[in-house]
Amino acid sequence: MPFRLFLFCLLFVMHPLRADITTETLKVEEFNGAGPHGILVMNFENKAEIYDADTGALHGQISLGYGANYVEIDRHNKQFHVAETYLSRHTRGERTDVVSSYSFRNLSSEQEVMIPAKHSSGSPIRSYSGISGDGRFMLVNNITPAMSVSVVDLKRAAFIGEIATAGCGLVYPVGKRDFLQLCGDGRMQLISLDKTGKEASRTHSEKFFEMEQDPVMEKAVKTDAGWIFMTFKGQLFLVSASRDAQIAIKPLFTLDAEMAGWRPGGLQPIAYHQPSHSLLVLMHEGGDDTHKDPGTEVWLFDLTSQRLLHRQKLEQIASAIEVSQDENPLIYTLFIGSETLDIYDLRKGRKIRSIEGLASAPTFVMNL
Amino acid sequence: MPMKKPSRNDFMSRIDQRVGKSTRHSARQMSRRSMLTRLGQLLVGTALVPVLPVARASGPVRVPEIGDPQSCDYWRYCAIDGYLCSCCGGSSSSCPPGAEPSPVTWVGTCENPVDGKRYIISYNDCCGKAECGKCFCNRNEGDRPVYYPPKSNDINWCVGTKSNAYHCSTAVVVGLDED
Repeated sequence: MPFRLFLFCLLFVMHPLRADITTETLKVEEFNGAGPHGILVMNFENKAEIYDADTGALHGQISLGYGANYVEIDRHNKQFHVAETYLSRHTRGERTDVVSSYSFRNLSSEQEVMIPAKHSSGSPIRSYSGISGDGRFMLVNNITPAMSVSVVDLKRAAFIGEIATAGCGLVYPVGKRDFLQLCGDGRMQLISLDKTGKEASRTHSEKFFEMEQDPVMEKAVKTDAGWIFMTFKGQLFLVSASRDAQIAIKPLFTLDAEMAGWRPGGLQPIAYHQPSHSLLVLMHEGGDDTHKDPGTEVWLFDLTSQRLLHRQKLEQIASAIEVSQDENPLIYTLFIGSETLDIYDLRKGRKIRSIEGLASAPTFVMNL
Repeated sequence: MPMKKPSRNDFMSRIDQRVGKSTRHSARQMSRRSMLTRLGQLLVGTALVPVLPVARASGPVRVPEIGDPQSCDYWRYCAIDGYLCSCCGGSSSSCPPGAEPSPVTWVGTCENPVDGKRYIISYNDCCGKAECGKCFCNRNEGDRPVYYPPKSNDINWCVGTKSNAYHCSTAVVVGLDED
């Protein structure tokens, strides 16, 4: 057959060429970390991208479901946990909400627990979820607009139940199995779980802020001494819980005490550097109703002396900030309207590099 | 080298151009009575909301208008957060074809520059379609944190609908603030 003969001759002619190369086998990489400055960047595209901040290299992506607010990093079990929504027909059809657990090794889902189909979504809020101090329970905030918290046992891969939280919302874990919440009446609520993840008790603090005059932002950071919250106008509070389930609220200082007319703002406007016990806040010049405006500067505060140590001007305005937890820290900033992440050397006081080409509308940056 | 200090307008403009939003408010083009009924349910449900002094007109009241409903500067949008339905096939008080209004919402208060009065605005979302992606607008007059849902524009209000997929946001005048 002429055609078969032609193919045979073609293979014969090509054979010596093939012998000159080393053939490749398609394989799949494993994720082995992203270096000492590995970071995870979230966005409105429902992706979590992992970068090495020292090289700018993209190490992989976790593909998330709809309404994924924040990825909880579980270093002990080497997993990422996140509450997500799936609709069976893209924008319609049956709604299923789950807490998915993604493996560090391949950034893919390896466990899924169904939860009530009402987990909070919208503009991303870091404290829409949290993991109990003992690592056992994932807590997911619901707003329908009635507020509640869904409890998932990560070890047993089981939904435990839903706790109605009546006028209070969000999740700020404290102790082994307790979590704080902010309440619309100006108080905080503390809910304690038992060993099975059921509610064991709840208490409230005294009223310590006015919702209309100067509300406490949802955006807070956890320190060794407790959670640090700030109001729209920049008043800081340290909130902690004792073992007997009492809430302690300590006013700290006002961010603009040494420079009036500046306010905190952004999606992730505050970061904590544990080794130096210092606080970094995105600040902008502004007044009322600017609590979501991006920062033009980062202000560094020493929490021990409660003094402003340094003002870092930003080359690009920023809606999110994080700081690496080493002795010579790097500051990571990004703006939701840009695909660029900027990296500053805190001690040198200048930008040292940028990572371009983030997925669009980045929201949060966090240390891996 | 001195840095260019971004103004609030710069911020809005950049956000308008670049930012997508996965979810937000919900919408229903409902009668005022229905709206107030739903609002009442919301108030009972949260047990947190101050009673809103909504004026009930004895007859139809035409709200004096000025401005471009496809512009983020439009007076009704003083506390909106989302894609403007006016740019998506709907209007400031209607959902685009086929989008599903949500039965619950939140309210803000904006000053009308024509008569200087403050009107209560219901920022209903339209749901069940992919994000419109046009005319993103975020203004925060009177906005409060998400743990105070009746005054928060950050929440996905596509709840109580067949789908919680967010499409766009409206700004429906539901009353006069006589406070």
